[in-house]
Amino acid sequence: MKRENALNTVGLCLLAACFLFALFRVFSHKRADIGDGRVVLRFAHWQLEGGLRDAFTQLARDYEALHPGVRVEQLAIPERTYAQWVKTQLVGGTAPDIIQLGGATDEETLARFFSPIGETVARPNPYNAGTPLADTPLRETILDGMVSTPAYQPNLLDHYGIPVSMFTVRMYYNQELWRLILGDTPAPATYDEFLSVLSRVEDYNRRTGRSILPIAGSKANAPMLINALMQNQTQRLVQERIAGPSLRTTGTEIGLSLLRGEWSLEHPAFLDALTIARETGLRMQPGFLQLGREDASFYFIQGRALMITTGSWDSPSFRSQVNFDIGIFPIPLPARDHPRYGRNLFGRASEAETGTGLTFGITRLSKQPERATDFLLFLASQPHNTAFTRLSGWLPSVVSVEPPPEVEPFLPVPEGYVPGFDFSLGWLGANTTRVMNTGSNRLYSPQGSPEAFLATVSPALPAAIHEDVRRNARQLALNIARQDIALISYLALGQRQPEEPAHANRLDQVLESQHALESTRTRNLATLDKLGAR
Amino acid sequence: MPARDFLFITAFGVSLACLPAPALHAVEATGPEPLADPIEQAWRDATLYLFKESFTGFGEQDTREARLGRATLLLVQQPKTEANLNAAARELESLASAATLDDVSAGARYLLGRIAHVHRMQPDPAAAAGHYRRLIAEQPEHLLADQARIKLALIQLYEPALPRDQLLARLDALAAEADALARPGSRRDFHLVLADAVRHHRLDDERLLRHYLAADAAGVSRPTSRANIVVAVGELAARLGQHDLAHAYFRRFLAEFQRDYRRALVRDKLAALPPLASAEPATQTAAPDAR
Repeated sequence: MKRENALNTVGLCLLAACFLFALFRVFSHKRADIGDGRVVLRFAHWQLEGGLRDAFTQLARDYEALHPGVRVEQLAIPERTYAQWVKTQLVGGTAPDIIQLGGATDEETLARFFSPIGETVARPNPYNAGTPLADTPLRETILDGMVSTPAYQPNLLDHYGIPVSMFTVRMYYNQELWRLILGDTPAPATYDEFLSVLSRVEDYNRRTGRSILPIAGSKANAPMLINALMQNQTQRLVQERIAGPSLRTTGTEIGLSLLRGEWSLEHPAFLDALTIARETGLRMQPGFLQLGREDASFYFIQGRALMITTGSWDSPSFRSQVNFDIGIFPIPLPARDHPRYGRNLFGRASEAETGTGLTFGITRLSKQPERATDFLLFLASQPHNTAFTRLSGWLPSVVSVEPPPEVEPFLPVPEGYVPGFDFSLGWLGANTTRVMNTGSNRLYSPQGSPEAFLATVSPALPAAIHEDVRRNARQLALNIARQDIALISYLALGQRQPEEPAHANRLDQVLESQHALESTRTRNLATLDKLGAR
Repeated sequence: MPARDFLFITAFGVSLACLPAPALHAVEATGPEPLADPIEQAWRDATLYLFKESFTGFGEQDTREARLGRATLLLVQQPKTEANLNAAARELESLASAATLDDVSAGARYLLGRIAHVHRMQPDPAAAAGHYRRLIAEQPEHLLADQARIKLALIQLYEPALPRDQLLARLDALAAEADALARPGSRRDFHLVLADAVRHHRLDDERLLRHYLAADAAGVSRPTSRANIVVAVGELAARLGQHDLAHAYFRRFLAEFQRDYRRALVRDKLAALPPLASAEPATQTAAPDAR
């Protein structure tokens, strides 16, 4: 009994000690920040790819050299736990000064916990002094003009983040395997050359008994290739049957035009899109759509796959993990003169609208928001974004930055045409994608065919489109309702401060946006009603 | 007690002990320094979607402005309930029916229309139209009366089973109403709503082109919307054989929108147009693509 009491006492003491230790850790956090007399600036992101953290570390040291009173700390948080981590830190009041914006930071979180930086991005970046961008407002020094989310928040009518990079998708190949299988054959420039490479790999496997995958596929990687091919094949279909005079379309318009019978899944262009998807899908490992991104990466890194389709973000990681040279080439799409597929397209898809990414925002909890802003200006300046791209192997976000040779193949190619759509029908919604996915086995199995795919998908697709259009309308209704609040609020502020033009400007933006959304929503619902409920 | 149990209890205790530590340090979301005027602060919070803070900020004050603020915020209180909407509607009706017509009564009447039009689970277009019409009649020059006209047009143009001749007559009347608005922003939005309706009902390109041109003349702020309108004017003008106009708008698009993936398509369309009737180019020459 005595022994039990003693153990209980020890347990309680341990408990109390742990509690006190936790308290000490929390309350001493602020003291630790200034432990060596320097202000500590902390920034968090989820990019664990090799090379990037080293690049940020080096840039942090460069910034500290310019500002001796500052210490910059980097917090790399795994992507899987990032959203929960960010929410916990923000609510707990322990968030770092700067946080990478993304899935965890919805509009409400941004409004509540992040500082708008519209005024900052409207001014020149002082770190661009001495460069041709010295007098240019910051937002115009960023490649996409900072018009894309999460940097700009259309409903909040302000900028909340500064992007540091951007991303494109390319084909990667193992140069050693390439020479072994294909000799001095150059990287394919046309779709037929690409198909020939795929066939030669299969011949090689038959001859040698090896099992080299022509392309490593997964549910993350395969769509990057297959969707590009499908978008290539539906280019002309979009312009001729779906897009209005603005020559641009949306997922909802694609879905509604299908329901109205303006095109069908049996349209020759869509059948060609399915055929081309099958042609490449069959060259990936069986069941590739059940595999994760890591599985495809392992196949490639271990030299068991000749090629992989992935984004520019993987380049430094791959290069640091493999013992062979990696080659890069653009996805070889059929051209207009292709005898079979050329009829469906205008030309190569343009990458002019590639958005920027790796966007950082400043939390309202920051004790030194001016310093945090200054650090982001540093990262987004021409000289230091040049250093970023050189150190990380990632694309720059700033105009006129000369990338190093290994990054050049990833630069967006603006020349080209408006892409078409893929299985997602222009990202119409989850129901449409789910129905399309149910047919994938019928498309990619050796016994499958486009016709078998359509037999599975066609009966269920109209109801899925209906549901997705209605769901999008509900989302629009939410935004429209919130805009009513903003409208009345800006009107009230404008009446209180008629001399402040910002209120009138923002009121005008709210009205323009709301009328456009409400008109679109009314039109879509009227179309659905006309088509009849399903 | 077995040592294993002791370890488990200790580990559980340690985990439990660590839980409250961050909570003790938790903070409310901080923002910029609060303004001295709580009502102004509440409106600012509402523009930032900080609805809870905004509702609290309007407090218990009995001014008409504070009552409008509280009623407005009730429309987005979570969970969204009919009870909240009914409470908001009662307060707004009281404010809108005041003897003196002012900005608060205009806001209240407009929101009554909005509640019936979009905020309720089951919209009531007839009731919404009634409120919009009353606002237009009572305060025709108010900015919100302009908005009420546009929302009313949305109800009128998408009325189910509307005969074509009635639809065309409505469109003509509404186009005249849009042209008569004094505020450029209202003219722009009205004409864009009309353009959408023309597209929805598959009416003629001349009508569509007229609305896009009117919206463009009024000034379109949003770059994506402006780009769409400039391309659409070029395309419609080309289809209608108004080649000089098509030249002008296609060239304007190429000069103004350097990072748009329609550039090649527009260049092709420009090249396919017959040469300009006049020797002078209609607008600036096309700029080369930027990276």
